[in-house]
Amino acid sequence: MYARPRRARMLLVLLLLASITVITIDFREGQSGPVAQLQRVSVAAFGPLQRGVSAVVRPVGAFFSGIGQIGRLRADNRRLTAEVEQLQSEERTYQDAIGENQRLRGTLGMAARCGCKTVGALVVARSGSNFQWSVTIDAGSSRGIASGMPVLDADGLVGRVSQVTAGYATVTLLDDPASGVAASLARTKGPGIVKGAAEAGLQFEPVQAGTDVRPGDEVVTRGYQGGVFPAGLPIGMVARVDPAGAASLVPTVTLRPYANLGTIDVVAVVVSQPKAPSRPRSGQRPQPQAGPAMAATSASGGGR
Amino acid sequence: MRRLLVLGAVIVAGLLLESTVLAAWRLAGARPDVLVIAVVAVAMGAGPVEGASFGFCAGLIADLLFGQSQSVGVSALVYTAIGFAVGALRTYVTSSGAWVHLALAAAASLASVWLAGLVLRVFDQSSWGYVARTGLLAAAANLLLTPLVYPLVRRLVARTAPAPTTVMFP
Repeated sequence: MYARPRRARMLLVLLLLASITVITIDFREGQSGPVAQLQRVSVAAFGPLQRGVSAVVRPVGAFFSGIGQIGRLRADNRRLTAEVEQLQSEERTYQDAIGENQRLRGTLGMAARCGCKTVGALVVARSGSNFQWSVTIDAGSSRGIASGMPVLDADGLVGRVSQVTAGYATVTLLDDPASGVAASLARTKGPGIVKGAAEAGLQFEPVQAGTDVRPGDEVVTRGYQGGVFPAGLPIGMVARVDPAGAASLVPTVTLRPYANLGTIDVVAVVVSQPKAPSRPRSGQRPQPQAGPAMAATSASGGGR
Repeated sequence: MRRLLVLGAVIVAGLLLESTVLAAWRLAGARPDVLVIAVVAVAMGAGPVEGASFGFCAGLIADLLFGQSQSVGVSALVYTAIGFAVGALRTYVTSSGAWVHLALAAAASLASVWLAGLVLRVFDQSSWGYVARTGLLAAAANLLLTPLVYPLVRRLVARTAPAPTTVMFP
């Protein structure tokens, strides 16, 4: 109670200092520090719970909109309603399964195109914070996943693995401000970095001033020696180019990601690259317009 | 002991709600924040000491679960401050009108996003425009959730009160 304001104030100062200490340790130690270790523990502890809740919630996404209708129904058609509801819920589950199947196929196609070995996973939870853009997936180190690996869905790159536990992993999405991916323009091969810009989506920062970039250009990942990212994975399309001005030497390039980062649910984690680095054997050069990705986009778009 | 367990369960339930059921629900891009409503409810029911402690624990676990590099601890800091502030303010809240509690929850939600944004700005991980807009939207989203979450947590706090204290109107 407020009878002992000094004790309360002491506690406040103590807790605030503790918070600042945690922030400092996390900032300094990064992935290897005790805070990151605690993060892995909490992801591992919450993973099964989130998976359970997601499994219950996912097929009945339309539940809330159904409540209004139920309220208006009369008692004498209760039985019929129940029947209809059951059928509807089965239908939703069915649609959900079909959609999931399509997205899985698309994701497989995407993985096959880069010739990489991938591990499939389902999204079991999303970040609840307004300042983090991440998802938790139901596959972890026991299936070969490690921190830093690229994550794809049927439409393109979605992000990279940031935390790994035995059974679950956290994926930092492309639009998180902490995210940065080496990329290049498909048309001119101009190198750059794709950075997350939260509300503004993605931004492509060309490495060289004077890089030729126009709206509609495709941006793909750039493989480099020692890197975990295979080359040629589609990231997005240039939506807007604001020319270089007094503030910066390079133009501000806004990207529209191919993957819908807000609704992803089936992903593939690239666990190893093809033997011959960054160049598949056949004539299939990294060309993001190639069939499977686009086909999957329209298919999954229609399925929902 | 029972109170600790109940408040722990509130944190776990809040985090599960946020990351699964409410994950897809956004108000013009902003996510609601169940935990900050719970922090306000605990602080109003039990005062600044428990408010700040509950806020710290809730924030730290949320940070560990959702946080990326360079941001763990930020929510703990913010929720601690909010728990303490609300707990200290409660002696001045004499009206038991629902709108007072609603306004308090909304103001705390706004303060929570703005404070977190301010701290993250130091690490260059957010922009002023985004923080300003998201704060208002998150507060609006939380206004809708407060009637569901707030009375429940208040009741849990009152029911698990350790000693016969003055039970305030929920």
